[in-house]
Amino acid sequence: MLQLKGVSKSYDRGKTWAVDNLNLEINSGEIFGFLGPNGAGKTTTLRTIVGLLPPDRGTIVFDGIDVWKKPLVAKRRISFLPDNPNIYDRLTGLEYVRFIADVYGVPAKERRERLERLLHIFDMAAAAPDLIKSYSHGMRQKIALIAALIPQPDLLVLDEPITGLDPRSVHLFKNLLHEHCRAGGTVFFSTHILDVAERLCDRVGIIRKGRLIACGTMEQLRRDRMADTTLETLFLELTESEAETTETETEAEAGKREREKERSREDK
Amino acid sequence: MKIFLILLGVFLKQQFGLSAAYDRYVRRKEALWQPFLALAGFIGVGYLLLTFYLRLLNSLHNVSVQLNQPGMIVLLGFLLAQMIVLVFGLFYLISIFYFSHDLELLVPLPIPPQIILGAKLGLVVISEYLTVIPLTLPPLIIYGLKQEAGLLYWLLSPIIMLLLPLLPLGLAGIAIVLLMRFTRLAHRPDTVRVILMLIFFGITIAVSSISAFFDSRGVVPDEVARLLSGGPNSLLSIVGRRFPPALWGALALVEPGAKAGLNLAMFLLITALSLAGLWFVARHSFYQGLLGSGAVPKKKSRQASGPLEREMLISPRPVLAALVSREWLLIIRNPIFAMTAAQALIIPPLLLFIAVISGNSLAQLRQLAALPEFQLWGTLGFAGLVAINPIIASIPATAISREGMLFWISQVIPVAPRIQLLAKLVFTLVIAAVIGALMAVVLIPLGLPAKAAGIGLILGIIFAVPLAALSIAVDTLWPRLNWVSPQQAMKGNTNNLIVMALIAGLAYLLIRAALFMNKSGWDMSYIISAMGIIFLLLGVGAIAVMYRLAPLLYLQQSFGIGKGAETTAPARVRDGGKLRIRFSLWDLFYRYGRIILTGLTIIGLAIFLGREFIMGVTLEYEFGPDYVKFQNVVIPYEELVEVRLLEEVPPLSNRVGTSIGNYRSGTFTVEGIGRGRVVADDRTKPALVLFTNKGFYIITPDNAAERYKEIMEKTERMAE
Repeated sequence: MLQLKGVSKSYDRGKTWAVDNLNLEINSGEIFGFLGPNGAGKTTTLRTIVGLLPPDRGTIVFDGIDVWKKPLVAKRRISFLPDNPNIYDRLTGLEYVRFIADVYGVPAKERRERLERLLHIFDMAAAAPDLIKSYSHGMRQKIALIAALIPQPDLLVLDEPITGLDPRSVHLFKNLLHEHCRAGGTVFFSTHILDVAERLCDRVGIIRKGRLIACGTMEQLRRDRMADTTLETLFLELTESEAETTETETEAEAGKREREKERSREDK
Repeated sequence: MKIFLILLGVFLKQQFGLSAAYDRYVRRKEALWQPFLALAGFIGVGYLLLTFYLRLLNSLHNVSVQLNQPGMIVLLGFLLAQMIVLVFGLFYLISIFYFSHDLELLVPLPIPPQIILGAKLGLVVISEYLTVIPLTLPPLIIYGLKQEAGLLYWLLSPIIMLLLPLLPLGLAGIAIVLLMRFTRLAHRPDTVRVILMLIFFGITIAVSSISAFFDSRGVVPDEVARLLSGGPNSLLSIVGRRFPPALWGALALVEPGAKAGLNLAMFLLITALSLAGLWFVARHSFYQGLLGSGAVPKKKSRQASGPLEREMLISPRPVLAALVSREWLLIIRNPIFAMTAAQALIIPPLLLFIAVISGNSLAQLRQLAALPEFQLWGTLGFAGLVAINPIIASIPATAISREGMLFWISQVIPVAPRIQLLAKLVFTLVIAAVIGALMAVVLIPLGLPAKAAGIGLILGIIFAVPLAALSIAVDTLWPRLNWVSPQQAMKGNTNNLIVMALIAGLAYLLIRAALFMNKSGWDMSYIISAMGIIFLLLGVGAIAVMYRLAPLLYLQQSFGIGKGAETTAPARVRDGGKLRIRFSLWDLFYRYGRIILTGLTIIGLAIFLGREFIMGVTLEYEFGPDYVKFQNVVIPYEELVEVRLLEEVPPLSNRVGTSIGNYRSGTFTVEGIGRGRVVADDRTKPALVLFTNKGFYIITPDNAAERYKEIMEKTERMAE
């Protein structure tokens, strides 16, 4: 189980919070979709989980291991795919996958079997010996995915994994994730594609301005909003109503300040 | 014109980060101390450099007045500026015309190509003013003041100064646009960079070989006399022939009346022609070169491999081997990294080779090698060379910086940071060993004893441990990860400067220690063993420091993915809901150590080089009652074992020191005498040679014959 307790992260020394007091629990064997508008704090959250960004506050625990206190133990069980597949482009696809398999200590037999299967699934067998530099965006995404899957991690953290994949690869990728979870693995991924999230995820969380504004299964979310609707409609309603609330609050505060000023002028 | 100005404005804002600076320092009023500190540093370093430059120019002006060539400093300033603009502008223009990221945005816009190119040229011109103005303004002012120039001079000189970079940049621009038009190089930035590096490499070797050739020939006084007899400023036309427009610009300022007008007209005409030429070729050829006839087909490295081949390619390796292999592949597959490293790894041994085989150095080296002391110094020297080579090649000091945007991979893989650093250290040692072995193969036939080479190689690898670990520790503290061009990660990385300064200090102390041991009568084997032990201990210490700093890798921001914020300092703590910075010496060092150490190194280097320059052109001899003093040398008469009066300074070769014009200051091989210190002006006759037990000195005081008699009398009296 992945637990985020009171996680906060600021890029400007506490003036604004990219992630603000985030509490989240993701069960083993679950596919969890992390949704939110641009700049909501999705990537920041993911980066704090995989050891790229230390949180300013809070703890992140995976299966009882604090990822920031015992980073190596945690990292052996986690794989990460960033939103932009920036990988060693002067290595060949095979060299990159071999490097990742080496550092995760994947035994020879397993790496051979998994590699053959993944190369076949993503139709990358022919391109694997070529330099990554010569790959298209989608091919880079595929080789980065293969590298992330080859250690068969307990937790897969994926940032916008579907961007750039062709429809066939998306379909196979979804099957792979289901298979991964059936084998006891956990998937935590962020996406903008609500349709995929709705059909793929066991639960979704919606984040806005660093705060979790909704979390649960689709059923739970519909029940909370008392509407039989799609995730897209729910997402828009939730994010817009939050925005309206904030705007209304701001207007109310401004009105209050104005009234106070007037009162002080009258007092004078 | 309006679009041109808008584009230029955007380019300037982007290039110099003006909007970001305005936002930070004016609008948000954050970290206001930074611009003040930067300004103070700039003024401090600028003042030092300018002082040295002014003193140098002053000396050159005095000399040029004596030679009846007063305009020489103006021409030299112009020539220097235009040559620098031409060479560096070429590199700059190629990257900004063809390989900048904004082209993808600009090309689809409805803007004529010549306007885009013109605005880009404008950006380069403005950037080049940062070089041209400091180089040309001081000579213009010195000439103007000392020659009491008229109003026209003061009016024209700033205009000519501002026009100076246009011509070389225009010419370089035309050459580049045409080159790209008729080749497919615009699609191969790596190839272009490699070609440029090879050109630079060639220039370095050529300059070194030519300089070695002329050094070995010495000067030909008759030739100089003939050149000088051509009347005022006659030498200008000879020097300026290398690049006539600089000459026209200079003569427009220093010649009288109609001649000045003619030269000015020539200068303006040729500048205008170069710009018009660029405008023309840009209009017709810029987009053709940039866009070509479609993308260059990507080269496939290998064709589809079968499962068996894949199995071989993906067989498991130990983690350390995988990491060392990654280091190797990332350097060798990136042409810029590979060339930068190769340049530094190969050039110094090559220059050494040229120096050894030119003149009579080979015979001297063989004589030296026969001496018993050479076993010690040869071994230690070779070991030092083996150890320093990968450091000069920037391999360990940029080990983390080179990962750049891909650093996130190192942060997420389940390998302890200290193991990752250890892999970088092992990689550096392997490079030291391989290049060391190659150097031994070259130097043994030239006279380096095989025993010295063998022991030196092993010792060199031991020496390399602390140097490499220290360099990696510096890069762990302050990695430069947010680079765009690989050159910024390696050549432009100030960690190299910091590391070189630290190692220079360490080397100084250790050489003193070795000299002390030798003076105290230690046996050679003891000294070599002692140095080995010292370096082993230093190695253990440096590795401990490196290991201690290793966890900092997890605190660096990775720019490759998501947001790129400033480096997270370890001092950032949360205190009652608000972030607070805890100030301690360590935090200050972590945050600002890089900038402080870089500044100190630059200042130290400026002082050292400036001193060398000034010493090179300042020949002052002081003859005291019982000593002679010049530069930093004092020779008491009682130490003199022989004094000779020569008709003139004999031919000199193999310079280690300064050689400006006719001034020689440094250690030279003097024909007919041997290797010794020369502080002399070639033209002054006769010359004095002072022999002491430590070596000999050649000096050229004005009245050398009288001084010779005086010294002889005094030494004779002392002997009595």
